[in-house]
Formats: sequence, C-alpha cells, structure tokens
Amino acid sequence: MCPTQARVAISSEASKTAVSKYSSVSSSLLEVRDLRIYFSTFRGEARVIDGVNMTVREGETLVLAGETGCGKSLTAKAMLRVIPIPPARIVSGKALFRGKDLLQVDETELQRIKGREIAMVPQDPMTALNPVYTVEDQMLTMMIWQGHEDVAVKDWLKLTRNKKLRKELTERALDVLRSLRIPSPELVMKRYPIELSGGMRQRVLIATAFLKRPRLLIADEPGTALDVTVQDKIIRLLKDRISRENLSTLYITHDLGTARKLAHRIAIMYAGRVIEVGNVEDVFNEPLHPYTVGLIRSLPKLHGGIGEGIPGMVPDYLNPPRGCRFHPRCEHRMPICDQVRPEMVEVGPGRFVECHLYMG
Amino acid sequence: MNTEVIRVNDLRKYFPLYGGILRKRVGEIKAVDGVTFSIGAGETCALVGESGSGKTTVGKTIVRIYDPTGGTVYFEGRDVTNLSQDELMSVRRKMQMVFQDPTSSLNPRKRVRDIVTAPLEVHRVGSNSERLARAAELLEIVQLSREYLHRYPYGLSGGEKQRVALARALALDPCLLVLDEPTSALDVSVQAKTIALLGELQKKLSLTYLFISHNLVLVKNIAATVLVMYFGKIIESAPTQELFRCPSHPYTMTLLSSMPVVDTEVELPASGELENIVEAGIDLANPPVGCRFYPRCAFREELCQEAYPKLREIRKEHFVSCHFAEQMLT
Repeated sequence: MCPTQARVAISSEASKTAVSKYSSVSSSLLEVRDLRIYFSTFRGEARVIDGVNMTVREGETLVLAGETGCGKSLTAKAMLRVIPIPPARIVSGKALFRGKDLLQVDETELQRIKGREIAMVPQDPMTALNPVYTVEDQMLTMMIWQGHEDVAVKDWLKLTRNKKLRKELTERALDVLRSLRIPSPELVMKRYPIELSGGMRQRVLIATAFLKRPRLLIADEPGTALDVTVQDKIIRLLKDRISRENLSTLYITHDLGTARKLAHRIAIMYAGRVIEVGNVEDVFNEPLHPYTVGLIRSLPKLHGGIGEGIPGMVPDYLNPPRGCRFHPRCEHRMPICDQVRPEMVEVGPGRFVECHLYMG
Repeated sequence: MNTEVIRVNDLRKYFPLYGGILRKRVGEIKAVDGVTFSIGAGETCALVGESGSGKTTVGKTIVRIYDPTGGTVYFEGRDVTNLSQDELMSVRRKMQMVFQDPTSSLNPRKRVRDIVTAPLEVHRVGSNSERLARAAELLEIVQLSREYLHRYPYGLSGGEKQRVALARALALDPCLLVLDEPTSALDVSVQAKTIALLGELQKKLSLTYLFISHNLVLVKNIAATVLVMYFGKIIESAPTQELFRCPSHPYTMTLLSSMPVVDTEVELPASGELENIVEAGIDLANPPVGCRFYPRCAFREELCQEAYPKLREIRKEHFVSCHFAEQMLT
C-alpha cells in the first residue's frame, strides 16, 4: 500500500470516529477570536476586518451573511492564510481549529490541515478550475500531491507513474462525482472545464472538496453565479451531503434566502464586524440589530411587498465611523452610538447582538 | 391604462452560425423563436427566465439594438420593425434601455455629466448649457446630488452607477424603458432602494416598463403581468397574482419552488420531486419538434416529444404552452 492511500484510509477512519464522538457534545470546531486585518494603502490604513468573533460548532452549518464588501470572504481567506501579506496585515486575533491557531501554525502543518481537514468551495465556478487541464487531471493531481512537499525527482516519478494508484484514485473521484449525481461521470472526467455548464463546474468543485473527508467545509457563495434552478439543486446536494456526513460548514453568502435553506445558525456581518448571531428562525422572525432589521425588510417577499432599503452606504474603511460602525445609517441612533463601540451581549440563549439598544 | 404602448408579434431573432474552413454559414441559433406579447401604458411587464433563455435578446430586439429576423414590433400602434436608421432616431427617443451591469455600461473615461447628456447630444437637443441644466435635473430625478455631475463612474457605488444609467435613459423623456436585470448586480438593501425609485418614477413620469429578470420573488412585487421564457419561447404568461396562485407549466413550478424565499410564514417547498435531475440544455440550432422542456420535465408523456404544445389560454388571460396544463393544478 502506498503512503497516500494509507493516509486517506486512516484519516477517513479517524474522522468517522471523531464525528460520532463529537456530534452529541457540539463543541466548537472552529473559533475565530478578535480577528483584525488591516490593509495598508496609499491613502492610509484600511481597517477592514475589525474584531470578528465567531464559532462553528461540530456538525452545524453556520452561515456568515452580509452585503458586498463587509469582509465575509476575507475572514475565511484570512483563516486559511491565502490573502496577500502585505498589503494585508493581521493585527490581532486567533483562528482556532480544533485547538490549533491556524494563523500561527507553521507552513507544513497548515498545508496538512488545508489538505485534509478543511475544504473550501470557491465562489466562481468559471474561474476556479484551470482551463488547460481536464477535470480528471485536476482531481487526480489534488489527490496525489496532497500533503507532499519538496518532492524529489525520484518520488515524483514514483507517484506519477504509479498506474495502480492512479486507477484507485480515479475510482475514488468517480465515486464522489456519482454521489453528487453528475450524469455519466466517466465522460465528465475527460472534459475540459470549458466543455461543462456552470452548474456542472460548480459540482466538480464541490466534488473536489469532498475528495478528502474534510472536517470543516468552507463554502464561499457557491451557486451565486448560477441560475436559480441550478443553484437550488446545488444547495440541495450540498445540504444532503452535509447532513449525511455530519459535516461542520461555514457557508458564506449575501443571499439570505439561501441562508435560510441551509443554516442552523446565522451570523450577520456589517463593515468588518459580526453584529448579530442566532438560530436561523430566530433571526428571521425577530431580527434585533437595526441593520439586520433593515436587511430583512429590503428582501423581496412573496407576501407583503418589498421594503425601502437602508439609507446610506457601507462606510469607508480608511476612516470608519467612531463607535458603532452602523450609526450613520441607523434609525435608532442615540448620542452614545458615535462615541462608544457597543459590546456583543447575549440577549437570549445563543442569541447575540452588538448594539447599544440591547446593552444594560 | 388600456392603450398599448408596445405590441410584439411573433418576434424571432436568429444568430448565424459559421463553420468549416470557409466560415460558411452553416446554421442559426434560434435565440428568440416566436414571441408574442403586449404591454399597456403605465404598466410593468416582467420577462422571466434563466440565462440563455433569450430574455435579453427580446429586450435588445425591441429597442432595435438587434434587427429582428422575423415578426413585427408595434410601438404606439406604429410598425417599427423595418424603419430606416433615420426614422429609428425619432422612435428611439421614446424607448430606452437600462443594462444589467452598470459598471460596463458606463464609459469609465467620461464624467457623469457627459454620460447623462450623451443622448441629448446624439439627438441634438438643446444648447450646451441647457443640456447641463437638464443633466442636473435628471440627477435630481434619480435622487443623486448635483455634485455627482463632475465625478467619474469609478468613484460611484453600484447603486449610484445604476442611477446614473437610469438618468441617461430618462434624458429624452421616453415612455418605454426596457430594464435588463437592473438590480441583479446590486446588494439587497440597494436593490430595494432602486426598486422603490423605479416605482416612483413610473408614477411621476408615466413610464411603461419591460422588466427583464430572473428573480421571480422580486417580480411578484413589481409587475402586473409576467411572461416566463424558456429557450426562446414564452411558455407561460399571466397576470402576476394569477401566475403565483396557480402556476400551470412544469417549468414555472420548478422555478417557483427553487426560489430562495425568506418569508417565514411560507412553507419551504420540497422542490426535489418536480424535476428530473438531468441538466440538459437544448440545441438551439436544431430545436426539437416537441416541447423544449421535455428532457427536464417530471410529468412528460410521449405526446410531449412529438408535438409542440401551442400557447393556449386556459383561464382568462392565463396562457400556457403545455399539453397537460389543466392536470398540473391537481
């Protein structure tokens, strides 16, 4: 048995037992604490992520929702250390994944974790696949080189020429494709990304994420570039898969409708801060933060029309408002709001909000 | 309310397909294949469908960005299908289009005032100073402050850019606006504001809208009638209330059930049963004889593959192109 294979087998065993052990406890799998990321620009320092706190528990789907430019994708990318530093600068914060700080671990360890325990489905299916390789090439390459670094020529030959390994990995890839209900997966494997439809490409990307058995899935708006019927299918497949494998998921989206379909809990982000957290139905039924209220009101509804939106726009990160970052747009503004930043308070079990209206 | 602003009769638009070494014309893509509808003055009509269904092509053919392959377009009772460029000029003053992506529909090298006054220049309306005054007035109409006149598009947010595009479309006092997914590039809170603005403008300037969109829930809130397109054909059209109360084409039902809905009082439908899982587009160069939704339809029968279901009226003003529309409701 070759090393890669053995490792795949072991890690799948490990994750199975781990899931059954943890699912009842629902302890935290990923914990982001006080994450601050600033960007240096010619005009000064942009304080884009300014103290993000959130927790993804074992076996739950947390949706991180917010509008364009609120820093939701950036938070996820920063955790996986795929943002360019500089211009970005991680000022403070921790991203604890099973107790290990992803922002501190060394490169080898990070590669190992990213390779095996955290999978990410990127946003845009049109650009995430390499156009000059077939789907098969891309999926196999990922599996073959997982966890390998500084490979000598000898090892390289051994791995690429190993027909038996290739065959087994191909089988595995086909299995994953089949489980995502891709029609005739053998043909799809031989295709170039350009020959596939958007929905198909997105499914290939999801399949690629599931090649390993991740503990945590980070999905950055999969399906937003697709038609609603296709998007709906993708989300159903994803949901199905998540519940079957009891997977923890961080799902990033700006679409609250999708969020409602998928999430257990939802965290609303505004201008680099998480401002409200709660169970999905609670947040939709009774939004607390004025921003969440406005956001839910502006969604077109099947019954009861469409709201009037929120006045103003997302603040300039170079010179963000003092105190609460939402105060210039807020209809419940109080004198204290532009002086003191509100703290996150727990107003009910598992229900957090960061607003002066709910403090003391 | 009863006067028709626009009537489209059996509109067709085929795009040529070239192939072989000599790049000879080998066929055509039938992007729009026989579309008929009309919109009354001051009404909003929504054209819904997924990408590739030809909804944008319908919009562009109506304002004559594309020349139609067949069929007729009547604008205010006049046949405008085969007008020459000169004659078109006068008609175009009355129908304008707002495009989907405000970033690419505004020239990045021009200031807002030049963008907004461009239509006036093309149509030789007013003097320079009059045009500038008109531009300021237009910005006020779309609720932007006057200082935006001297700014470039890159300094504007998506919502503001779309307002500038809207101001440009309104410059010549049109009566028909073709809105091609005007809010799909915007955030929800900005979308809500833009929709509110469009509603206000419609009342104030008595505009008629053809609203092209893929978002059924949004459409429910603004349109009087809805046309659902699927691969070049209208497969269902009805007054909005009627369509949402009893959708009668399997595709419309699929579309409705896959909408992400946020109303908490609405039960989330189990959309899985409505559709076969195959993801099949159809070849628009050689469209099938039968129903175009056949490969995806969960209720298909043999008849559907053999004969194209004609668009027929199953209830008052409710047209469906499905052999079994009556059975769908049960």
